[in-house]
Amino acid sequence: MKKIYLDNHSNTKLEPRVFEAMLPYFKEDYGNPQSLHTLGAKSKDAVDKARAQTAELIGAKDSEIYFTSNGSEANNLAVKGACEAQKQKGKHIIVSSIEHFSVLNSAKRLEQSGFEVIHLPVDKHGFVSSDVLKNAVRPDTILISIQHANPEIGTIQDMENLTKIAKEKNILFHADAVCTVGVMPVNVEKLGVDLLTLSGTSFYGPKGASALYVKKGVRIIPQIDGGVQENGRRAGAENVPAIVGLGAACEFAKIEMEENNKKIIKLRDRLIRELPQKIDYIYLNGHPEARLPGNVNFSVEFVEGEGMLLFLDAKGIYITSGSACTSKALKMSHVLSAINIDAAVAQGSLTMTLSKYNIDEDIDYILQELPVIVKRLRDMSPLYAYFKKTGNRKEAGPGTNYEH
Amino acid sequence: MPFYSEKVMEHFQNPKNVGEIPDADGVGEVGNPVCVVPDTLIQANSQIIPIKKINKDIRVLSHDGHYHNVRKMICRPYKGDIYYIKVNNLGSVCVTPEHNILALKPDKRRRFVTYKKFAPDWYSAEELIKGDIVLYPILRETEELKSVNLNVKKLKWDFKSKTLPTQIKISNDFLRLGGYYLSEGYVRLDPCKGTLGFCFNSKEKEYIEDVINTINNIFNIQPAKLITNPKGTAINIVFYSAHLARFFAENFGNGAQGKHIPHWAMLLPKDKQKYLLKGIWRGDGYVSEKSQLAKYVTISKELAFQIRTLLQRQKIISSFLTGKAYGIHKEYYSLYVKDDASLEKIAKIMNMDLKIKSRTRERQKTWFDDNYYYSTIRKIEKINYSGKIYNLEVEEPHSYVSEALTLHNCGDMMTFYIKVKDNILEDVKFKTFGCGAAIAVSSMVSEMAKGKTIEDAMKITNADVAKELDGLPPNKMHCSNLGADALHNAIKNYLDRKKTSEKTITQCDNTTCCLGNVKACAKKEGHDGK
Repeated sequence: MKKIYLDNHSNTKLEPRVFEAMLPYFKEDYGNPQSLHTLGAKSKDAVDKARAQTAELIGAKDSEIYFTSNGSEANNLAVKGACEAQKQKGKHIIVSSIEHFSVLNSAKRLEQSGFEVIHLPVDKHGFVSSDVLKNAVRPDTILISIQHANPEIGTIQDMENLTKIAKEKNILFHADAVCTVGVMPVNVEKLGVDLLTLSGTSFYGPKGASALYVKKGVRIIPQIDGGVQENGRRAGAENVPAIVGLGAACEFAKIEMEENNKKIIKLRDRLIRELPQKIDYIYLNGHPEARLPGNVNFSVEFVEGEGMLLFLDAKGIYITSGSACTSKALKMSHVLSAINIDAAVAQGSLTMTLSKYNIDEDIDYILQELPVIVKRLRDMSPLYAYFKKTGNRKEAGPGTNYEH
Repeated sequence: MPFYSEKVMEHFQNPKNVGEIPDADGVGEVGNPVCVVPDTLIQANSQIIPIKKINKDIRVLSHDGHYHNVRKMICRPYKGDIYYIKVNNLGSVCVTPEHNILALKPDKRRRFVTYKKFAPDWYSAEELIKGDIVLYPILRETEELKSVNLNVKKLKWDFKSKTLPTQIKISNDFLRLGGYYLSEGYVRLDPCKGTLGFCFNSKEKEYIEDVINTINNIFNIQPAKLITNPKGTAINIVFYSAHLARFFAENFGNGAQGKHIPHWAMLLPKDKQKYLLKGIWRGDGYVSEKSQLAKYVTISKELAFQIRTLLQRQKIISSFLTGKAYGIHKEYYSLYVKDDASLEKIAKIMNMDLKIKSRTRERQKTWFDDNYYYSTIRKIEKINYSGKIYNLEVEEPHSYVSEALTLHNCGDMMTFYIKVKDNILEDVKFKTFGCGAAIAVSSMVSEMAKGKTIEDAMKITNADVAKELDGLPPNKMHCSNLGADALHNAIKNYLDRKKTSEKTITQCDNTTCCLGNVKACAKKEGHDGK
């Protein structure tokens, strides 16, 4: 059976060359980088090399890179660490409403200890407007945290305009760039950020290593206390193989990114162009141009996302959906809710994220299978039947036709 | 292990009996299963209104502390479990098991030390247990109104009333006067003999003078007479002004049961509302140093809830009690303020010098932060219910507030078609919009029902369906497992069409079946109360 993986914003397939680079640190060079003996020194060198590779990719200095175990941890460290370090200065934090949960919930936690959090609204494409940000800034604002790009709808923020505001007012700016670093060119100087989260899982790196860029001079309070690893800012023995993998992934990304993107964007645009030709009442979410290279997000009306997901799964196509039914808590995706999509239409959302491993035939296969599945589900849907009969949309999702 | 059982996947991938029956004998639908019972009181437009009376013109309070428009009202018949939730100091509400409620689940033993560390979230009613904390938003909408227009016209034949100012400044004095009226005032609204009166205990000299002076200052009207009752215990201050009487009746309501605080006053900044509270409490309330208690009694339900909202904004914790009243009135509502901090605040509003005796602290069950009022669940139990249930769809942020809880409105949809011959379900077809589970459930129900008699088909429960499918994931048990309900609706529809008088479904259509009576109703209908 075919196996088409289109869930690359959740995790990407490990690059074999990266795996090769990691292997010795599992088998032979297993020393703790903090140890003084030869094996320890070897590990330390490997971590330092990975640090240099990571720094190189985003245009930072080696000393500005702090490894963490995952993106969520890096986001926690950035948001909580930076706010706690500045609590004398102010208590006001600004985040966008489409942030990853690790940012949103870190902010929520801070709210409970007396900080004040503002969630910036986004427009229908998912952009944070610089005017909105400007108005939200207060004299006691200490941190602004806005995602570089959203993994779900793929919208890339106009970061330079946003960071300019923070710079004028001397406020720290954190960008969660997990879905952009390694996927498209990112330079911290150019972006103007003070803190930036990146993760190898977006660009064919291993799980278990991510990094936080902390600009020189920015203070953060460690969230894990212990030894002197990572300059005392993130204690705990380094996950050397994963860090080496991240470093290698960074190096390959730097060289191959452009080439990969050319191919991925072509595939993405094909899906975006051809799916609406084959399926009626299908809407693209997110911005058509300012979009992550691999991201395709459609809402298919009159059908529910989990149904499509399960049928696609049976066909060997792996995707995700922002439908409430696919979440454990049965809640609609907060991102779709923030861009103000009708709840009934959002139920039919499909997120497909491409990687360098996808080929033209994959797209052919999706274009062949998805319309069949949608038709099948629509034939089952009372909403579609109603629409076909009357030309009106029955208010779906929450509600029935029982009136008072 | 995969998310769904093999059977579910089988029925999902190859659902049986999909489609419509054009000439069906019965059609039944289910939609959003999240609902509350008809008499649930909802915070709306600064009043409290039973959910069944909410319409699109009414704005309801959401968990952000602001009022929002209602997009849609939903009403559907329901038979099954509902949860009766009683919250300390707030009241009670009945909801369907999957209704989302804003709450937090703290560490049981150290609830009050640890609650801040737990993030509030939306929990379904069935996830909640005794001791969990529910959040109740404090009204945050404020609108500083400087003056009110005299919104009643002087009637044509009303020659006697003195001319009143067309604009009445909302001063502290005016608010206090409004407070007095809410507690002790009355009006008679004969067209040209209208009177406005206030009854006080004859010992309350200070208040009597205050009323006379304030009315004189604001409206330039002097009392016509002061009537003392034969025993000499009460004094009635009477003002002859039909116009003024109508103004008070328009703004603050008329009759002890109809009194209410006007919308504009509910939205005033909280510092101003202190003066309103002062007047109100001076009338029907008291603050006792001896028993270390402040209490307010009224027979107007609406007023009682409004005062509770005012107290919440002042961060005063009050407990709410309903009692049977003597005489003509059915029920009285009393608000108790007991805890030290709240008592201190209310004494300050009343300008009283109250000594707070430090008592052995009662275990704290309710507290505040800037946005919410937190209170613990005292009791939660399942009740079997049959009858209509309601829900609202509210625009962003999609929530509404009942008397005791903050509820989230959240959809699977199924339509069943049946064909009946000789009391047997000859054909069953369905259409479903929903997740894998919803489709599998629909398919299974149609298979189970086919060939059965109507009576046997009515006995199929949602639980039976889940069992037949080798179980469903816990979070899908209520959201998607609605097939049997849809089938029952179709059968009911068929029976209605046949116009049989035979009542197959015990339906408690009694609209007075309200919160408190649900239990009684359930018993009366012969369900076991648990």
